[in-house]
Amino acid sequence: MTTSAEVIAQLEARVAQRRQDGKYPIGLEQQLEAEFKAIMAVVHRGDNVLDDVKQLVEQSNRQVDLLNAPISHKSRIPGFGFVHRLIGKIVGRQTSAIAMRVQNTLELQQKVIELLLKQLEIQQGTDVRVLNQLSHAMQDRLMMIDVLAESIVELERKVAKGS
Amino acid sequence: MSKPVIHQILIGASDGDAITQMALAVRDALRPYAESEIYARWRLSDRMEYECCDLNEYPHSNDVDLTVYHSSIGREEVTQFLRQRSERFAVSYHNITPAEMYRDFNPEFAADLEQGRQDLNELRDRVVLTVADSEYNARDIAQHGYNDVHVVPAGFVPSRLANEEYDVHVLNDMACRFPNGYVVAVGQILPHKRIDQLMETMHILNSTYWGNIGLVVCGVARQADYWNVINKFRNRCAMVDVYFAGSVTDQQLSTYMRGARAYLGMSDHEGLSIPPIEAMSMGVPVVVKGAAAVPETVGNGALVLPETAGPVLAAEAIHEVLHNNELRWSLIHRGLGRAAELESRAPSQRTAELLLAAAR
Repeated sequence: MTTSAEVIAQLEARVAQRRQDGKYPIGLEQQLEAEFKAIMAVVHRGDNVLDDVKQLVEQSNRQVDLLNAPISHKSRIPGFGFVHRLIGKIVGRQTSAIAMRVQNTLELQQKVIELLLKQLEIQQGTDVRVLNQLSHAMQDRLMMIDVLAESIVELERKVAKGS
Repeated sequence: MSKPVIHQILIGASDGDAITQMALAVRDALRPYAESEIYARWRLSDRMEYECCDLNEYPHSNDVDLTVYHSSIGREEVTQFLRQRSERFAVSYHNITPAEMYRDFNPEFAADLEQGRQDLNELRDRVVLTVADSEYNARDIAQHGYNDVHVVPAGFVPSRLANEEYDVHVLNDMACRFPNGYVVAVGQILPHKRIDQLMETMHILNSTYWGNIGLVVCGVARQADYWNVINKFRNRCAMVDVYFAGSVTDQQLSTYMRGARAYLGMSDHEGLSIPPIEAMSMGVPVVVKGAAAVPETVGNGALVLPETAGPVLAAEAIHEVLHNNELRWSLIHRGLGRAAELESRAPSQRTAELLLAAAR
């Protein structure tokens, strides 16, 4: 059974040989790392907060759902569970009514937030589409300029030959 | 005589999060002997709403014998909470990623990491017990003046996933998408996990050996900007089909792992590194970069690359594991042995014993 150290030594030797044979281009890893860093440098932090908003909306939904959940009557003091249950029964009618009203209000507010979020997503999708269209149109124009430039060079060559 | 009250505090509790899993295991080990709950500032799923209590409901200091604080990051709200407490504390240290790794790309996150270390300094005089996941973490927390650190991977159960049943839908999807098989990696989509190097490794492997092996990454992307970067870079690594599974259930995770031809880890910083051990416990050969606590955790159960290894060496290692039957068999065999060895240490029980002694 070979040890990890022996296997690693063999692999390192193989990598060195392959680099020498040109099978791994010189600076391959550095190039990949540089490309990754270049992407990191251009991604502006905070540009896309929609994911964060969605997460917060989900959390808020869960909290609102819990508003009407039963409250534990457990107590660390023996016998006090009964006291908690009794208090719960006495004020239950009022607290449930308040909880219900708060829940209804919050659910309405959530619907408004969800609609706004949906609208933002639609807007973002539209923006991305328009940007893509502009970018493609720009690339097409650049290609046309390339073709025209090549034609001019060709024409100049022909004119030079003719003269 | 009433049972002691030992509660645990997490900053965030979420499914699939290693620290949350460990806290749950410790709570279960404590419950026959103590009153024990987990309180979290953020509970990020329905299951966590059920399993954990809201930190705002934490009992008064007089009603708690010992509070176990799981340290891995800092958040202002939790710092304020800790300052107000007067009971005895135990710290379970899971390592705080060095802030330098995030200073350029995500300064807010870097500030949270620094806050975590500041919290450790403030808490030190009230701490009666310190538990660290690994020797590496013990050395790290010692820099903050914590002495007599017990090294126990609190609540770590290597075979946690091994008894899960297969998710046939996942198996079917993976078989269709990756007819030549795939390599799996598990971890949150964060810069120090080096998801870029995972993709580069598989891109180089497929470019060099034409194996058309896929890559499956199981883990949540919590930083939208980094996720954006990874998606852009994915186009650059065109020779590998990468599937980001996102947040998965334990059953799905175990299926992704068991269906893989190998496990690959390229993380630059780990305080313990649980997923490779879970892969080992299911007979999956493991190749990992030997950064921070990784070599100590995986022992001889994995092919451990040098800390400075890049994607070319990792690609050669994966190729060797996939094609050298003797090495593959040896890694599977040693991996199962290592997972069994860690399991036999019964860390949850040991942690519960330490906490109960500290609470008296």
